Amino acid sequence: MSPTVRALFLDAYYQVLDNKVFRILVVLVIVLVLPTFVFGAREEGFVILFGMKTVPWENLAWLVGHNSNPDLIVEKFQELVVGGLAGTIGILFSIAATAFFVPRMLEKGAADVVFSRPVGRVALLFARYCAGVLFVAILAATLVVGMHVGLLLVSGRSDPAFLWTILTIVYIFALVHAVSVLVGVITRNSVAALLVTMLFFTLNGCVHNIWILSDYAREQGDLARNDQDPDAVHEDKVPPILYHSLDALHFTLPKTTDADLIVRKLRRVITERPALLEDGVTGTSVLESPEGFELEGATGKRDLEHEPARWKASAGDSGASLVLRREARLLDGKRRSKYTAAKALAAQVTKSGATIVASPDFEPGPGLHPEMVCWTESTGGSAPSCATGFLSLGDWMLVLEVRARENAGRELQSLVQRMRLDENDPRGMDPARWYERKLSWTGPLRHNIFFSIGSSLVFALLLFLLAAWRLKRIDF
Amino acid sequence: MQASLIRARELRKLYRKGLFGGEGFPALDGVSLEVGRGSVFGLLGPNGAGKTTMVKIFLGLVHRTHGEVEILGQSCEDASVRRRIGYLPEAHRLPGYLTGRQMLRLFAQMSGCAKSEIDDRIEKQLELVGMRDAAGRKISEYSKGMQQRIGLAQALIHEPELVFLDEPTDGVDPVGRMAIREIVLRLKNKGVTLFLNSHLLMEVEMICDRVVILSRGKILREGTMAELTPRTGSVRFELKQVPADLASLLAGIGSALVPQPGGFELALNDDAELDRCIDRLRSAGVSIRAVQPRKLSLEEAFVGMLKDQGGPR
Repeated sequence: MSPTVRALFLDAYYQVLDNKVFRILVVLVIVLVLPTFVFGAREEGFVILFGMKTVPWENLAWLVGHNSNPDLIVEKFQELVVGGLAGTIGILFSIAATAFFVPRMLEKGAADVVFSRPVGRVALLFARYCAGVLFVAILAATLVVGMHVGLLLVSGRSDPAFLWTILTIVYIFALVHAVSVLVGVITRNSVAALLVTMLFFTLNGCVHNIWILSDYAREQGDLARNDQDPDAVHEDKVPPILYHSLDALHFTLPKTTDADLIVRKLRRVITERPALLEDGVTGTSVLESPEGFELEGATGKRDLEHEPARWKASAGDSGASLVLRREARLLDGKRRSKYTAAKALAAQVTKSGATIVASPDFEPGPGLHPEMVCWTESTGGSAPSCATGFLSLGDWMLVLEVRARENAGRELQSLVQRMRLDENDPRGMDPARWYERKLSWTGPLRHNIFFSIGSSLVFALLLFLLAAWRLKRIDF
Repeated sequence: MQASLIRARELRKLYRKGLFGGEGFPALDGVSLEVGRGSVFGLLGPNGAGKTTMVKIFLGLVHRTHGEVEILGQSCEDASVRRRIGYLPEAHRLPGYLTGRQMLRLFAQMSGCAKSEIDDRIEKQLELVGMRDAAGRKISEYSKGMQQRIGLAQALIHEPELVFLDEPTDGVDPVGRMAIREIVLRLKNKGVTLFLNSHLLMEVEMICDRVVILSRGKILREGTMAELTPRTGSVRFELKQVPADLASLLAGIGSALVPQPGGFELALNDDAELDRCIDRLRSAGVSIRAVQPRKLSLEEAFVGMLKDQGGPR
């Protein structure tokens, strides 16, 4: 590193350390990190001061519910602190703390001293931009690494992928900070830079959330028309120009709201266990066999349409079986949804003389909403219990069939929870969940992670270049 | 004159007004100038004459509208030339979050000083400006005079060949002012070329070899101090005791006799008249303490030139 560059970074570092808002934020970060060292979530309960006192989870049911899971509690806490506080309020604080970096450098008197040195104006501007990013990087690293160490030592939970969130915060801020730099150069006013950047950050988030909703609504409409479902088809009264404008804004503006989703996907890539079974066509993976069941045949990739996965009970209920297969949604020229498939099966079951029973309350994992039909076959004294679940995945339908001595619905539930099936049917899906599913490394441009990152960085780069161009033209 | 360090030809600067660069006003209007090596060059002019604009063009801080500028044989837009230039701006604002020593280190590094030399240079400059004791304090805690002195140190930290000083003694007390003057003279003796922009004409008169007077963006006058402050022809006599019949005693010698406390002033045409005047006084038993040919002060010359031009803009 050249002495000049080192000098600029050192200057940035001193400027950051001298900043009062920075000091306030450091204190806030310590306040957030400290609880992870004082309190812990372990299997046996809520631990205070390295086991000085342990409160059983049953006593905290009012707070964490009956099915307390320390992993889940830690994860929720991490998401609340890093995603909720640092990712929004923290960014706003950081904007306030760094908005003056560039305008102050350009003030009369200060600019004369700095720009009369043998260093290019653009290099000096870039150093100030880096100072802002460095500011946030130090804070984010302190927060995330501090929490990680605290949770590891006290709660015994370590999720190295959590460290990726440092990158998320720095990435979001780096995008927003480019706006601050540009406004700072144009107006040479700290208050203007602060207000415009905050406004931009807020409006940019709104634009993308509205775009996600509009994109979701458009796809829902298309699907309903495709399904020829008159109940779901609504006349779209929104003028197309509005959709086009939203698209234009989405493609142009930095996609700050994607950052969290991208990191979540990265974390998944890193932490996901190898699947027990994977459907070669839909990519749906089954992580492990349900408790008490053994998979028949080979593990690994297979085509579930031609080679359904079968589990048999390992002990006890010898007649119990689980089958997972895939079939086309198009049947007799009609595209079925999971609801219509379940409806048709229920009619068939009733017609055969079996008794439909209520499905058990289902607490599925994220995105798992199979449509279930449960019934009891009328074959004498010990009527076996049956359940079939439908999950629609694009052009395919995943069918889960369970046969057990009793309560097949619960077995199906257990199967789904352990299998962590992917559900790609966007019908009725929550828009946020829908967008998370859509956003992928290989998806089309509008839902492509590389495009999201690339276009956001291009936007920030363009703003920076515009600021550099303007700076070069200033007469001090 | 030795080789020119600054060479400006037909320099023009038009400041435009408004967002779309509407018609503005010319800050510099065809200025041509050459500054030789090792001289102390004074730049004078009323407010708005274009002095600061000219210096800033030399430093690449302001873009010229027209003309050519060569500094140390390079274009003034070339950032590398600024390695050899020091600058103390008027009303400068140094980074208040740094200590004096940190600031000097920062600017030494930014100016491309070798790492091994920086510590020595910092101590040397702190000693020069008398700021060694306060070097560990933050600049934001410095008084105006201290800021001016540490500002001078930053301008000299990379040992430049050419130094621009814009109102260097502004806000500095008389002792500090004298110290700055001494520094300037010491630099001059070392062969550093100095470009001094000051409103304190006495200071300029004491330090500068050559002076340029700017007005309304144009050079009004340029020359050595002797050229700009010619003798008036009057001579001031300081006497032990002023005789009561002074007018009759000096009758027929010179003109415009002006009695003054402790002496008088008389306009004389030549040295012969001066001899005659001294002879008359001595023969009348008057003790002469001093005889001083009167010349225009820079201030008088400066104000006179502006009046002739019709006053400042």
